[in-house]
Amino acid sequence: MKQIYRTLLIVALIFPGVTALAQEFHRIRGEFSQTPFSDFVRQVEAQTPHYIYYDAEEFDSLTVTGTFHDVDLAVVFDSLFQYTDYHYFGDPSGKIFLTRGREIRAELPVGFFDVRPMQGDFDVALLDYLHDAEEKKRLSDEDRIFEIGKRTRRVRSGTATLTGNIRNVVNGEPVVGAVIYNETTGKGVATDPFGYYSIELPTGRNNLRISCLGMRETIRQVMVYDNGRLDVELAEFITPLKEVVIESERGANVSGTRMGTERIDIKMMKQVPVAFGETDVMKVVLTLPGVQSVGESSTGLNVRGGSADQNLTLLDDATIFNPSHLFGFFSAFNPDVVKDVELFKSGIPAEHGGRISSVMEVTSREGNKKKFSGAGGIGPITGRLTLEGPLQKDKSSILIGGRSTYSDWILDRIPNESLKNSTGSFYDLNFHFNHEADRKNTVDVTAYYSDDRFKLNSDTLYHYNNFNASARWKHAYGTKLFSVLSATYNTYKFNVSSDINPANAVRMDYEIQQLSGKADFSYQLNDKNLLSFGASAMRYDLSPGTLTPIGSESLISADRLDDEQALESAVYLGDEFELSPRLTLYAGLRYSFYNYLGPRSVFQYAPGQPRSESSMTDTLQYEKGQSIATYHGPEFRASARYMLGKDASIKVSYQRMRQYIHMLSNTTAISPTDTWKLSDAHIKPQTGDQYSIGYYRNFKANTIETSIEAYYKTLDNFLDFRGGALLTMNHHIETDVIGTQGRAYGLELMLKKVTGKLNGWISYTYSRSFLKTAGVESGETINDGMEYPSNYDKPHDVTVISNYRFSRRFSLSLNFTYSTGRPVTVPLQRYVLDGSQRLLYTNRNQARIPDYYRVDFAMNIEGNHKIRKLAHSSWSLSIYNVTGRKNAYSVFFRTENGEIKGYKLSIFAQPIPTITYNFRF
Amino acid sequence: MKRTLFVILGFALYVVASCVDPYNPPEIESSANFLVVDGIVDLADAETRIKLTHSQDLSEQGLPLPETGAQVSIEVENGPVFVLPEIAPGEYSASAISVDDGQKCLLRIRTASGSEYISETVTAKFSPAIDSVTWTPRDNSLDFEVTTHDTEGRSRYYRWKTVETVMYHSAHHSALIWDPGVQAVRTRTPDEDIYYCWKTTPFGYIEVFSTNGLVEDAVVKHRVFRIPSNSWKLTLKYSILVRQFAIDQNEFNFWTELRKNTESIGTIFDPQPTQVTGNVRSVNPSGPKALGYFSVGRSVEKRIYVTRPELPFPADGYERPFPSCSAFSIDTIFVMEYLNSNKSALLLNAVTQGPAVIGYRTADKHCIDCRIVHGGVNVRPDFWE
Repeated sequence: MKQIYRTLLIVALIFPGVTALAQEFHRIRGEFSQTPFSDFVRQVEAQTPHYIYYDAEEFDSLTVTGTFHDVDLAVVFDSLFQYTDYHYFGDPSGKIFLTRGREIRAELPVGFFDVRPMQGDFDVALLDYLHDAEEKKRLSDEDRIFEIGKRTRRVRSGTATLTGNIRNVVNGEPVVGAVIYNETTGKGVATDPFGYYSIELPTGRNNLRISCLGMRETIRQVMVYDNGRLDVELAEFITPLKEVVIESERGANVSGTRMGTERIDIKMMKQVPVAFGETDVMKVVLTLPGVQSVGESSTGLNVRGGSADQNLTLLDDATIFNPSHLFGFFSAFNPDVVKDVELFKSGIPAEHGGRISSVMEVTSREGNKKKFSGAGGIGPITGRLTLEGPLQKDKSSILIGGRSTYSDWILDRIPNESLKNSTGSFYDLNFHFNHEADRKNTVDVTAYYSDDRFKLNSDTLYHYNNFNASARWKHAYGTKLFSVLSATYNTYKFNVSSDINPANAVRMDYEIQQLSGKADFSYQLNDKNLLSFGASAMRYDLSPGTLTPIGSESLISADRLDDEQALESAVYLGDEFELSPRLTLYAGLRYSFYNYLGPRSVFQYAPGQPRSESSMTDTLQYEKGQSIATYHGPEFRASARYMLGKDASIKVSYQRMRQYIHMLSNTTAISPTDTWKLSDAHIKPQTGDQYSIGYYRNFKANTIETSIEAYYKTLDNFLDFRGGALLTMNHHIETDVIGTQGRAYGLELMLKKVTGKLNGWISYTYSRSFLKTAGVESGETINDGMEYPSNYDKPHDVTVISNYRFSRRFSLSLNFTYSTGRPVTVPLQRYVLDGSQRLLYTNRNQARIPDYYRVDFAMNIEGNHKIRKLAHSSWSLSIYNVTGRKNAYSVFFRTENGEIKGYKLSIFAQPIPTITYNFRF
Repeated sequence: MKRTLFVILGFALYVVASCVDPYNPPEIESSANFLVVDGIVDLADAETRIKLTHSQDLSEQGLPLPETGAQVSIEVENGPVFVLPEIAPGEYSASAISVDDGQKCLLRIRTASGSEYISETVTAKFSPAIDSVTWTPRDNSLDFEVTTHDTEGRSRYYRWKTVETVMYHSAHHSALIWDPGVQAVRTRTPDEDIYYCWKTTPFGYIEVFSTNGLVEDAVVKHRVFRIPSNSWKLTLKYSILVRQFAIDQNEFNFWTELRKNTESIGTIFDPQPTQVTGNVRSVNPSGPKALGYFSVGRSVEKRIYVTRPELPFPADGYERPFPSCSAFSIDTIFVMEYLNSNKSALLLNAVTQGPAVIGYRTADKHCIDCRIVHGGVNVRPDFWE
């Protein structure tokens, strides 16, 4: 299909010249404005000796506009018919034949009688004759006038609603974020995650322009009589290398009401070089302004000064608690299955809640609805394979993807003697079933399973699983209201076991489960108001720790923490209303309720004293289902966009978020054994407020986007932990937490070029993030209650992502990253105790590790673009950390043989070259 | 066990091309200077010693400054007060004090400048006997483990210190010695033998364990030391001495935290360092901080030996304890000149032809004198079996 399109372009560009050789055309003059084609023909025939033959019915929708001063008729036709499927042919006698769909040629195309399979060069016109039905359909759809609603003799004045789906013509997949722009009124809407759109149109003639980056723009002319439906299929660009696509909605960064939101589709992600050759969703998100991590092997994201547990990571609506594989070197998402990822940093709409810093939504692809196909890749550590196809053509599809490690490539290269015995492996599976029952009902069922195991020093075995399943039903009620009902279930569990010493053989298990139901509605009240409302409920079930002895020799006494249960529910209402063409407001309210439920025994502490085992006064027993603690509160969301002309706008937003689940972690990076804890009678929910303002300006027809965003954020009830706190198997974690407040602010500058041979972006972020001990419950204060920088306070960050396309088959990418080193706690003094040097640490995070600087390089080579071959393949060669800079992951002091020694740990201390082979069929 | 399990979690993972380089992290300049109390009293020692020093800036060179002229005393609840006179700068010592198992004690210090410090009250704990010290060969290491138990279940928290003694030999045995006094070659006396050496190294690392999460107060084969299986130390005979202390929960927490801050650090998943000060504080609540720990206990010890033939490792699967060495022969006529001019050469033995000595084999002293290679002594320790 793609190939056909390229061919057609050549037809359009070259053939008029060729045909012109057949006859000299006369020149014409005249002024035409919306002149019906038949009138134009009459005038031409009047001015010149030409006779024009054509089918009036085929040309009735064509009008001619333009002023010609002695212009060759061939030039007129060329410009008139460019990008259409109209053709002209003049014979030597002065007759001109106009055709539609088929071109008239004086001689047969080369190879017409040749029955051998086509190879190498062949006359493009032949292909035109053989394979162009689909493309012709597209072109003809552009010229047709679609009648919407029941045709009436007279068009009633007023508005009507047009709805429909935008799909990819190749695989039937919905196109998300495509913009339907009404050229007549200058208004536009974007498709939702199901490719669905709803636009208010004035009755009568409207020209709609449907565009989406990475897809070929198309137009539809509609005659609107009443409410109706129009589905549009978009074709992809010929080459996936053509451009970096970061936001599908061209121009939406300026004209949309959202701010602090980034959508990246998988094509763009595939161009960013990564360490092990496999496209990594999390690592690409990390290149966005405002997103940081504490170090190279950490998949914990720190968004605008928030901690890693303040991000909601969703895969098809279900939470992923541990989005990393193999110590964070891979992320949980199989790149062949991912469709796109959307990150909300600010201005989070009311339908999202549950975490206070950000929401990252990863969406998996639907299977191909047209034909069976597959894709896969082989890298140095992992292999992956995805199969997809229709169950019922154009109606339902299925996609199954899998990925697995096949070598201990990483661990075999560990230079450390004692860790050579370590092993690590993972696999994950994805499933996506999609069924479009009819135009009003679509059902999606998705599932994800991942399994990670690693053994360190043949001693301790770590094992963790994610399992997610979700079902969504999208239903349209008429043209203005539609709903998405979804049910999700997800569980995350891990266990750690050690059996090297039979006397102490033990296994610790942790599990968290979530079951949730959600109903989201979207209602186009009128052409000024778009309402969204809904409700959700989520049930949490945690088994926070079970310690089990292994074998009869084990002396370990079995232990189990009480299970935790809670119910989190929310209702929300949001309205996006257009006050004037320049000013659009969004106001939303989400109200969340949280109940921490029995059965459970709850310790009571003497009021006003630090919570500790000695201040425990009582233990209360709660029955099953009894409410132990209740929290609730409003979460306000508001944003506004003011257009400062066609290409510039200002936006402001405010959001309040509440979070009822906390990660118990006292390590700088997220460790595989960090657990999650629900808010309870002692641990309050976290709240976060964020104010942001931004200026957006596009240049050169929206091909260059620039933005400046500033934010200020406060966090409350964030958890820190006492020195020496035991975070697992602790029956009273509340005695070890330190209530902490935080604040963060920053400025993000972005310059993005989305099209052209050279594309990519440059971003600069200035951001600060501080924490401070609040409250006395803990009896311990960090830094004497003074503010200190958080672990992820990295003030300066510069990222350059660039891609240069030399040809359709060859492109180069180069990334630069610079950031200030993260804060680190360094010792104040050293001293000698019991014959060894020891260190005294006092104030937290008072120094920094060296600044981080890295350059990556990647080269993508696509196979040839022949239509018919067994498989399409591509090679990608990447070099991570080209300069081999030994970036510090941490700096630390250690006592060795009684002496203090200072060290710097680098994770990737030399260039990491990788070759990956990818294929699809 | 709970604790050890999660101590293991602080594992080190140095992946692909990762590396750890010496580096001096940025320092904080401070005028802080704290009294450091090294006050682990082991009643099994012949004398009771408390050391008082001062903390130093990281960049400061030299030994820590001793706190001299202080008055140091240990007060036993319902018992005597033991005064420890200063026997060397900063070292306060007396012959072993007598404290019973379970008696409460505290340490009191009054510095020359008049500051007063006091420790928390600690309970003297006598360690139960070590049942056994064993060794277990692993894939790439030899592990030494300790087994002990307390039938009364009073110990619960244990701490071990280990001292290794390695017996090794040099590359070449030297039977002869050049006597510069008489300018002649003679046979070495047994005291002059430098083929066999013993090297004793006390380890300063922190090893603690709690039986709190176990059904009984028993430590079974807890690893206290690990040595790589290819270490040169395992070429002949190796011995470790394990000293065991029973400690209380606070001291256990103190060592655990100190270990996290200063030993089990440098992994990908490092916890934040924490402020660990100990159990000695200024009497005046606003007075200066003191660092260090005071505890009273009585240790027990056990020694084991392991010889090369007992080990299942490949017979030559270890690093040579000495550099590659070659010996060569020198004619008797030139030996005096050679040895006088080449101070690093030593004699091995005589090269004979029939009954006649026609020359001497010599080699570099690094190949002959075991004391040079690893800094051991050629005197067999008293305890050595």
